[in-house]
Amino acid sequence: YADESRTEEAGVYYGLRQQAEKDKESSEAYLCLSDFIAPSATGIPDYIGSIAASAGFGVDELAAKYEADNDDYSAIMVKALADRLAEALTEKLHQDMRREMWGFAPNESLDTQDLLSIKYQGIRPAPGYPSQPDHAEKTTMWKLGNITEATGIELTDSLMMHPGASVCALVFAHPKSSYFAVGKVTNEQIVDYAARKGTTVDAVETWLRMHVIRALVRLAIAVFAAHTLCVGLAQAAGAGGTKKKIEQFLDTDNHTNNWAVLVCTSRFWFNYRHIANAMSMYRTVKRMGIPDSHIILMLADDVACNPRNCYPGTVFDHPQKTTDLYGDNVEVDYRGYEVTVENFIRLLTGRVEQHTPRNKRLLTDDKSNIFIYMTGHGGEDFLKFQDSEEINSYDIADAMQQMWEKQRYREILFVIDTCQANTMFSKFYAPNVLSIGSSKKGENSYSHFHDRDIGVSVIDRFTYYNLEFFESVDMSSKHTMADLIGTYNATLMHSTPGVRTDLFARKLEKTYLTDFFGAVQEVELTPEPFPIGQRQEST
Amino acid sequence: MRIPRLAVLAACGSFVVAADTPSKALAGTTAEMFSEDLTIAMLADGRVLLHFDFEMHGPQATNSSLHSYGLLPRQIGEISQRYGVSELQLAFTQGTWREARWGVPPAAQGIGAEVIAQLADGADADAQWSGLTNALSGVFCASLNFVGTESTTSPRLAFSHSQRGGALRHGFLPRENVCTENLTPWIKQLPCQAQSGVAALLNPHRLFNMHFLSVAMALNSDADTLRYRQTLSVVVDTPAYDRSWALSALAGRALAAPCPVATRSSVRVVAPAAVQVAPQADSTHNAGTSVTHLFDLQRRRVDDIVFTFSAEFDDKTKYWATAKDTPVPAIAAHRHITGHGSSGGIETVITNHRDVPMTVAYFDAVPWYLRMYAHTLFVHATGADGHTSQLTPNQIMFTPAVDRGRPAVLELELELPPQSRTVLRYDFDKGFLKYSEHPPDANRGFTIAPAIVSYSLAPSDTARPLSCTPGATCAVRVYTEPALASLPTPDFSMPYNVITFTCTILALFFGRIFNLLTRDFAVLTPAK
Repeated sequence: YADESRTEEAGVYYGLRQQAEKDKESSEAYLCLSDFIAPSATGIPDYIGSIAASAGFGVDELAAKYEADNDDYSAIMVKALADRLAEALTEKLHQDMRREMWGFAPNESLDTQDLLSIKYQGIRPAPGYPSQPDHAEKTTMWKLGNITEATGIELTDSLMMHPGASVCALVFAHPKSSYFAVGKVTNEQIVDYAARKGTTVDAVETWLRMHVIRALVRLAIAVFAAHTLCVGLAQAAGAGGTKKKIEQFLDTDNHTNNWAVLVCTSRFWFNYRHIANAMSMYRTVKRMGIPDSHIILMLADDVACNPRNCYPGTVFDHPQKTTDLYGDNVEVDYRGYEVTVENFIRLLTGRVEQHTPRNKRLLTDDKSNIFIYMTGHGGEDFLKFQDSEEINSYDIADAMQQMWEKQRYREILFVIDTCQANTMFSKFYAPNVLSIGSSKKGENSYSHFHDRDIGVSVIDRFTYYNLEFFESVDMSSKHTMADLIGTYNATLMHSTPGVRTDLFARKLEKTYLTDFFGAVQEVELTPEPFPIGQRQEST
Repeated sequence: MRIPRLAVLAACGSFVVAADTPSKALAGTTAEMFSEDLTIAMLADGRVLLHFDFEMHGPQATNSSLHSYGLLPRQIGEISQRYGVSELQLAFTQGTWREARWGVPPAAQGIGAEVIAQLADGADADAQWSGLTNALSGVFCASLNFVGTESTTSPRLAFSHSQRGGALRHGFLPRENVCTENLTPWIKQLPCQAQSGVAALLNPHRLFNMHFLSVAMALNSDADTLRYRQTLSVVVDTPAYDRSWALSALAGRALAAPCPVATRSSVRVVAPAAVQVAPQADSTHNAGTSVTHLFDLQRRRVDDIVFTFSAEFDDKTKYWATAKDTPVPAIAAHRHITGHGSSGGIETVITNHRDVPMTVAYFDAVPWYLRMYAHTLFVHATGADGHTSQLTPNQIMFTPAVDRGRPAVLELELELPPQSRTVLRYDFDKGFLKYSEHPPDANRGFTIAPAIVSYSLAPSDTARPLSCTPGATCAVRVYTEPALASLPTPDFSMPYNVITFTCTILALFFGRIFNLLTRDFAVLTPAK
């Protein structure tokens, strides 16, 4: 309305209501922005605020100047900074509006963190965003607020704001207002909306489609200017409905690569069984399709070529000696003195030294499922490396949290076979980690099969019974983690295996063994065989 | 989950293709060459030496081309380009070559892992070297990244024959194990891997059941060619103490058809005349008491070779007796550590077996924690007449050590009298290591890299390593044994005791005295 008398209509904002069917159990309403404004029938006077802020004046020119100097970095930084400043200015304007100008929340005192997690009263959606996907509403806004004259921010023909680093928003004060996404807009909704607005269906569709394109463009920019990504994500995650979407997206079962880190921390011949443990896990993951390039094998000693080994070049995990675990083809990535706590933590967190070759790096990303297997001598909250130093449970827990923050994994399966193994994962706090240990606090883990020729025990019980189950598992197996854990028998193992699932988001019954032990592989076949030894003419 | 199987099929499929197209390709071009040779030598003590020699050479890769590497291993080519390497030698060796029994070693060897590289000259040679050793450690699954500045040297005399300008770097890890994981990548670099030709005999389970094994590679890169040579020498026991044994029983595998891309594929057998070799060789040569049998695998298929001792050698001791005239290498060198406690010495014995004076270069890199005293250097030679006299080196180059920085390097040029035994000795004190500098198995002691004696072999000398071309001057290196030095080892639980004890004292005494000095003590009278 033009004034407080509320007789003359100055302009009309139109809204779209959520239509997509929600969960039957859900009590959520089907929302529209108009829900947050008092209906005129009630007679309660209500207001809508609007904000238009820009930090973009002169930015294009400055960026163009940097680009002319081939300084793309500065150009990107200028644009990114302007974007951030515009967002910050909006945040400030909104706050002033709440506290003073409009004053519906005069006693508000929120810190930055609260602001980012939208704890303030009311919302400030913008036309073209999920709550109101129609960009055309901006014209109404510009008309009502005389925005071009007041600020210099113009609307382009495609209803984008010029200069670029500008933000506009509608401000709702209702205490129960919240961000939502209109979601899928149906055809009859568009027809009705066009009729209400007095415009054509085509026009509505154009401005609604803009929303999608804009979102894509924003995504591309976010990826390009990687350093602003985190801030962007934090804000996106803060926006109620979007947050849910991101969570759903991250929760979907779509890891794209598998890695295995297999660590034997024990030195000396009498610890033969620990190397056999790690080697049998190596053979298992390799058989299930994880390539050597995705397996980091750490062996603290060399028993295969040890002078005491009466079967040179072999490692056996059973007195029958049917399968040589060392085989003809093995790649040990860290060996001997290289197996240290420092190297292990560096490997996990990716903080390796400059010249470290590829096979000594864990090149994972946020779509990697990692299987970490450790074996050696340990105790309550520690595992010995090389019989000379220890890693403690806090170290691994912190390393994993750091991995999570650096987006170095999607899910981790942590398996440890050592005395009091379950204490080693008791301190974990990073999400999406499933942990299995061989024995509980105060219990030892025991060895299996003393071999009279080799002269020492050749495997540990926990690992042996795991392997026994894996013998029936191949790449196409549908066995789940629950199946594996179901076979654990404390009497046979002489210790009580432990499983920690509270950090793991999925149900064990729905987690396939192949999610960790198999490999996701993408194969591209070339139509023609590729000749080797023939030099191509065109170089 | 069916996809991985497809991948396997695809891999096999492309392998078959790879195996038969290149020979056609090679017919039209001489761009790349590959040869595979195996030498089987029966040693004087009844053991057998297998020496595999694979040589590839091709045009120098250009930066732009993705297809420059047909036969040459791409990873090696890329490493040499990236780090400006013109010459590179890498060897992993286990076991001692017993020259008294086995005669001349097939190639230079020293127990452990050795890297020698000729790098492009420049200020960043050390950075290049560090990058190179790390890259090689990745390729060969070895701890070569431990070749830090502490064990890197720049020899000036010992390797001078290979000097072509640029920065020479030498690194040695005497404690490096050699096992299947080092052989796996080495085999993968062969064009046919272990699938065909003499390489089919490369069976890790037999190779590591040995008395001596040396796995080596050498890269030589100049303006337009890249040569890559992979050699493997192994000394094994014969399969049985019967009169007759077969190669397939020795290796556990049979010879395969030659690698299709090979331009030469041959087996050479060096055996005493009293040993019959079946099938009949393509050609034979007599050299003294031994006969050389040559098989050309490309002319005909040979699956197995059977060795049969004639009846007179039924008794092995007779064979041993007749085999005594194995040619002895011109120079032999052995080294040991003397003394006990906190000081000691290093003593090297170099023997000249020839009737002419020999000029040799002696190279020894001693870690900083054996504090070597150059002034104690003592060189005495005992001639054929039993007379001992002091020997003055022609040249002495000594680089003192820097603690935790670089080793002490002693290089000497010596002229050894004919048929002489030269003793070279110097003293050291043992340094103290920091608590954290000890390896996990500290009580084992520290292995000191072998000393190297290098000399130039006359074209007329018949006791030649297999790596030397006949009838030409050849640069030969002789390695001594590595030495084991025990250093004062701390009681590793002690620091904990010391820390707790010291902290208690600090807390009790420092706290009290601090209070006494800083506080003002006064008697309080209760307020009325």
